[in-house]
Amino acid sequence: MNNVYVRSKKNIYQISITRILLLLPMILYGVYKNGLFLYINKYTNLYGLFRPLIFIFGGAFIGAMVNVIYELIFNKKNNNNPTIREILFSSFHIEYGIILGCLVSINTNVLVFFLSVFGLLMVSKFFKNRVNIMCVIFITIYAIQTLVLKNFDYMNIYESNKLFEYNILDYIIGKNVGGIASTNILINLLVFVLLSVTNNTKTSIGILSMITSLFLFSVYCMFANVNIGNVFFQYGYIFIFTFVATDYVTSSYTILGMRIFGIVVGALTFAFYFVNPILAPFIAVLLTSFLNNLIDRSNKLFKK
Amino acid sequence: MNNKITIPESMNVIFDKDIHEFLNPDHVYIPIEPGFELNVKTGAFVYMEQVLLSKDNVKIYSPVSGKILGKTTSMKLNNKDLECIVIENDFKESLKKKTPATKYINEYSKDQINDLIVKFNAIDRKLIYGAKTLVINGIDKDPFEHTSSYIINTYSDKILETIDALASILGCEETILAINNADNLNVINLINNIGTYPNIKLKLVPDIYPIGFESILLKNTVSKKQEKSGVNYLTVEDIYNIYNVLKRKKPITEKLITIAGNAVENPKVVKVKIGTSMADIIKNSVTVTDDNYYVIINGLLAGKTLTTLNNIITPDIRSIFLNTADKQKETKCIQCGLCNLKCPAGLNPKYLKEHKKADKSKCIHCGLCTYLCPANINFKKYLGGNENE
Repeated sequence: MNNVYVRSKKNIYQISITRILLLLPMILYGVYKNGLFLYINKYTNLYGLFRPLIFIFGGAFIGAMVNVIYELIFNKKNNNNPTIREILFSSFHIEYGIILGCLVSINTNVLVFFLSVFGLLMVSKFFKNRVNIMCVIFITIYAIQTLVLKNFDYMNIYESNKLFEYNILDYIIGKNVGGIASTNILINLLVFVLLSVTNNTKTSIGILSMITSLFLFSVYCMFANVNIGNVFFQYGYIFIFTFVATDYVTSSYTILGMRIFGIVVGALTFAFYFVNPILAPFIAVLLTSFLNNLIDRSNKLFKK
Repeated sequence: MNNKITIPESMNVIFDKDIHEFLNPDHVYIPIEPGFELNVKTGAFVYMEQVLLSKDNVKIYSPVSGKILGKTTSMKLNNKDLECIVIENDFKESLKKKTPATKYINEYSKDQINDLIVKFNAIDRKLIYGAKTLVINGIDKDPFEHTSSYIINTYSDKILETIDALASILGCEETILAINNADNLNVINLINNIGTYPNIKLKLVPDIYPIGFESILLKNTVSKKQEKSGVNYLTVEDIYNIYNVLKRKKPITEKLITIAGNAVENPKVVKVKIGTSMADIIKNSVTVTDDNYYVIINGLLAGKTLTTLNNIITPDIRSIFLNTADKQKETKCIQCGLCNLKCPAGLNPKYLKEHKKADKSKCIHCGLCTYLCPANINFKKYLGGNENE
């Protein structure tokens, strides 16, 4: 008999809630930058004011719906009468929805966003988390916006009406163009520290992906005489390394595996930057997530 | 990232500080281990501390005086059926020969100490002669246990006296008494008393699990240089037993055990006779509040679940828990890596779970991976049972 009598309070629900709550400061800044500020300065109407929230909370709602639909229709054979909380937090899909809402451009077509998120999150339920689904969804949305609708643009209406030259401080406080709530590096780093301290993230993946890519970009910028801000801080890389690369289910889990995973993500991001700077970190995380089992197994080789 | 794990739930358990005893069971059961020769006959009278069984130098003593009723197979030892001698207690505790107490325990020689320890089963390990360091573990192995803490709190003078004597007789250059820094009462108690024993170094170790395990404690208290020059490791319970053996020259027939768990109203440490049935102890010592309990020995995290209360107390039992099982459902692994990151033995429990043929010998069966897993995976099932198996 091997019963369990005492468990820590950490469970999927607690991890999800902590991560979602810690995303709130980023979301608030995104709502201000891409909604409230535009509304106050009469660049947009009431719909525009709430548009960031439509993506972020819409993403969360879809994530929840996917869990509910899957549990009620496709997972009925698992007849163990789960509670509503267990259904809603049976996977990290709510968090995925919110993160995607933070990552996409404010100009994204709402229907394209909702359909892509719903369809692909639903499909991911059947593929047992083999690849990082957030990357797949973002790349899909980007592809539709760029190739079909031909209107992908990170700039909100205020930014597209003016000319800016950003300095490092602008990037740090998130004044630059980017995803709805993924630009503020200062808040992002604080959130990352909190996630690490509370053991709610894979710290080494986040840190090493940031350090590796920052190092490679710094070297490149030094030789190419380019402003590092315009290269490294432009496209929400820090946010992607913090929340997308560290996705629990599709990244490596061994101590050494996490380190290798982080370094590979950072290096591939740098490599793919020259192909497509917006998609670079997504492609890097996606490819590395394909290899996460292999990376974990390579542990043994290194130990030998 | 914070790599240390404390078990906050254990802080909620409040133990009764009074001395509790259950030393008068109607019957005691002495297991007849394979290879042991029976020295008494059915119907005969036995004195307390009379030799019942023997094998080479090892002797098993009667914890009570009374009549041998015969043999039984109805009792269990760690869930296993084992033939036992049944002694009916006459409650007189008659001794064949009374031995006067020794005044000074530091007057023994090395060989005398070793002889007494072996003769009276004071400890289950051999002392290493020539070892330069003596480490005494004053930390309970399981965070829900209170036995070591209770022994230090109640017998601190005897413990310190014995450690000091043992260290000087064995010629140890460094003597370390390790206790949990969250054990406030004992920290104050020992700091106040240790001044009389300048050779004993009090080491306050952080309240992390599983610091009470021998290998983990030694890793945290002993340097590699000290390790090379030899280390004698003992627990405070060993020290308490050694004190009794050296002072009174009598065998160990009683022991202190923690009785706790969420189905127990008043957790406490109770002194019991070795060989007492657990059912008797529970009935006479604590109030049970929930009948849907499981019986677990030696810790809620790393202990073993017993199938019945018809088990008997043996020297290796530190605690009995009456606890309900955790009902959270096991879900699919989310690859958080916590099990791997926090494993005190540096193992990968997820890998060991998935690969049945993998080497699990380094696992110390502390149960930390099972405790921590956010997906509620019961790794204990896959890591070769638990410490008593």
